[in-house]
Amino acid sequence: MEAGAHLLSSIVFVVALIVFSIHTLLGLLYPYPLDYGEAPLVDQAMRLAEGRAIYRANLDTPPYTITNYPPLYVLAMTPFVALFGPNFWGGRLISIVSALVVAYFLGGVVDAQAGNRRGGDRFAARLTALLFLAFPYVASWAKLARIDLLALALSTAALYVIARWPQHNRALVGTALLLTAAIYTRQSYGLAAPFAAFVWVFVRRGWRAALALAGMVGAVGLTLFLILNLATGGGFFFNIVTANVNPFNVDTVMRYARELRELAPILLLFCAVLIVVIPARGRGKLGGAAGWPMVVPYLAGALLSAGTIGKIGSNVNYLLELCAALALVAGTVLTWSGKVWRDDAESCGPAWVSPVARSVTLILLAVQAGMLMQFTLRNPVQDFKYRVSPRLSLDELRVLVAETAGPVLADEYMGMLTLNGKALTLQPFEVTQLANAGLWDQTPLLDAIRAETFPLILIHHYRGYAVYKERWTPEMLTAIQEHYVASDFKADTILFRPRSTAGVNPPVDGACPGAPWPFPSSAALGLRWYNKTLSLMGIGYDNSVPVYAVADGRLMRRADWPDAVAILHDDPLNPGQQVWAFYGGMASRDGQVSYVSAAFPPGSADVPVKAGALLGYQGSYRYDWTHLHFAVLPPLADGSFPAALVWRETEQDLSLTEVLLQIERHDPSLYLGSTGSSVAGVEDWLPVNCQP
Amino acid sequence: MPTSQASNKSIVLKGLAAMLWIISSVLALYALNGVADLVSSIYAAFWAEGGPYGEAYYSSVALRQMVIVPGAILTAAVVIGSAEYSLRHFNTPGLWRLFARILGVEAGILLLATLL
Repeated sequence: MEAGAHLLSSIVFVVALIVFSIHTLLGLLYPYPLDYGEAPLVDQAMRLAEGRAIYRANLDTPPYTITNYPPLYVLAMTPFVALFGPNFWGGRLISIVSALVVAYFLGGVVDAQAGNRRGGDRFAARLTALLFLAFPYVASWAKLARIDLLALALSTAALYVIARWPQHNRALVGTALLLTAAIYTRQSYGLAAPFAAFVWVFVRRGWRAALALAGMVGAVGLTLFLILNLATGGGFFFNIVTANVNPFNVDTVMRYARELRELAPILLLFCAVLIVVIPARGRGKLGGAAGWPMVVPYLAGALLSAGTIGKIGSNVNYLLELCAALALVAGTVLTWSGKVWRDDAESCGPAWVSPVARSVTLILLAVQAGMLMQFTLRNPVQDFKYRVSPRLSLDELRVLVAETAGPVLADEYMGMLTLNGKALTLQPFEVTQLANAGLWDQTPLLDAIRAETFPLILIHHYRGYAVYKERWTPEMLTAIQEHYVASDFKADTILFRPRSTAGVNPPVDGACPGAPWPFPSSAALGLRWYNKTLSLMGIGYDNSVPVYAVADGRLMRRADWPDAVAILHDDPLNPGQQVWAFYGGMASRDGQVSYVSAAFPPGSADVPVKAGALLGYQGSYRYDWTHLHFAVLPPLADGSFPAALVWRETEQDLSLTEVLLQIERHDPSLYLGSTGSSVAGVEDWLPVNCQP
Repeated sequence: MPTSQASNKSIVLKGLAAMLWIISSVLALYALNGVADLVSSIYAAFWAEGGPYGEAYYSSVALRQMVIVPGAILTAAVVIGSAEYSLRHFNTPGLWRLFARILGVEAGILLLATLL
């Protein structure tokens, strides 16, 4: 039975390795940035390669950039940038190799701890390694040029050294140096692994050795800190401590906790076995799980570190240590399961217990790995596909940035600047957090925006989330709206150009000169045209951008419309006739929360409204962006609303085909005075450009 | 052991071996389909777009066909080979281990095909 379970789990884990390999290889070969945080690191490597400092003590003058992390990863990336020019593959290669190194050392820890009792457990070691790589968070982060996996590799190497040679003083020194190196790759790695190493040494060698370890880490770490801080005039402390204080959101922590509970229920069960059952089973002697004094403290520290994922701007990198800890838990439980009742000299149980226990553990681990892989293929892989899909647009964007003379501001696609060898002028997220905390004066930057200093500003919008609200202060966005105009759209990124040079004629006070109607809402991020309907995309989260009636009329709102109203106006282009204006999208994405004004409850009919009346606020109902869905529709023959023309028909309504036989949508651009589109069948992004 | 008891035990073991062979053979056919599904699923997850009119769809179908033929040969080898081995090495630890391994491999493939 055990032989069968071995093969079953082997097959599952080999497929997990294949999925990891494909995922990371595709990321490695992709030339453009995959994450906001990659470009600043490449920029720092470029500066180091040119002999320039990366830890500036203040942001009084540009560049307004922050080096959030200690220098080890950037130092490792610098040779790639120096030899091959700005690129992301060098940093990604470091991450991928680091992930494999982490897997190796995690397996090594399990093997070493199993070997400390009686022989190693190579199979459990391999499974531990592959389980770590099966985590969706590991695969998705390993393909990025980010610091975390290098830090994890150094810290797990430290745990391996002290697990393999716990009695050797040189191992103690080596562990201290590796832990310090991990901290100087990412400062948050000063918790879980050092704590685990300390407890392990305390249990195996006593308090003197443990204190010596802590003392060495503290001394080397503090010495390096003082040297770096002195050399940078206080810039090191400012960048890695002061600039890292971001607001905290408990909801984010709870969301990831729920996700982990659904993703890894078997591993959570193993945690319970490790923490409760094994000590109870061993009658206080940890019953065969020799790794307990390292794994449990490491798990505790990793959980605390993972809790900081609630910081604004955090991502799944905060869960990597927890993934490593859970892999260790699995390996430890697996080695223990093979020794149940075998090592207990007082009461040897039946011989079949251990093989069955181990077989069951292997099967459960195989199921768990399958669940992890399922999540990987359905989530990070699909996100990656979406990210890389607009390849042509990104090629165009790169060329556009290359051809733009002068400093360019960008958020998600800062990498287009670094790829073109341009230094970053601004890291918007970092300085926004500093500005919000009152630690940075954004006035010089705002003045530069108002003076139209920057020929191009790129603002990105995630699918389903207005991430730019975290990355730009309200003052920056206002200054951009007032002095720049959205002139182009590429890869979910709005390109803003100065009003004076954009070649776009924007509305004045919300209306195009001479147009029959004003704009019903802000379209600061542009218009999306689809089959003669418009999505006006305002700047802001849901329920923050107001929507107004364009003219006097009579309003109706169907009972099954959480997000929309329709108003029958006099047709300004056809005197004597009337026309419906449809205002939709004013609800949450799932339609559960309506942003329509309470004055117009569902079921409203024939309600008189005046021009400029507040109808509600933009939402993201049935869409990825905060928007207002606007359409101008002739009435049906009986004067009723042609619901099929905005895809809202019910069984009582005429079908789209039937309606189109009678009437068709009016061109809304004629009513708003803006330029329209001749594109049919697909969405076309348009700047808000008033017709001359 | 008395002769009748030994005879009974031999019949039970032969029955068990036969049953395991039948189960492993049937599961081998399901596993063959499972492998094809697995390859298609992983390929589709990474590359598929454009629905049934997309290039990736046809590539996926081609991949599946590439897997089926060698898989079918392997399945036949497993079915015939395990039968031969059973006849030659009846009631040996090696035989039971062989069945355990075959069933383990098949269960692993079916588990993956179900989850992915």
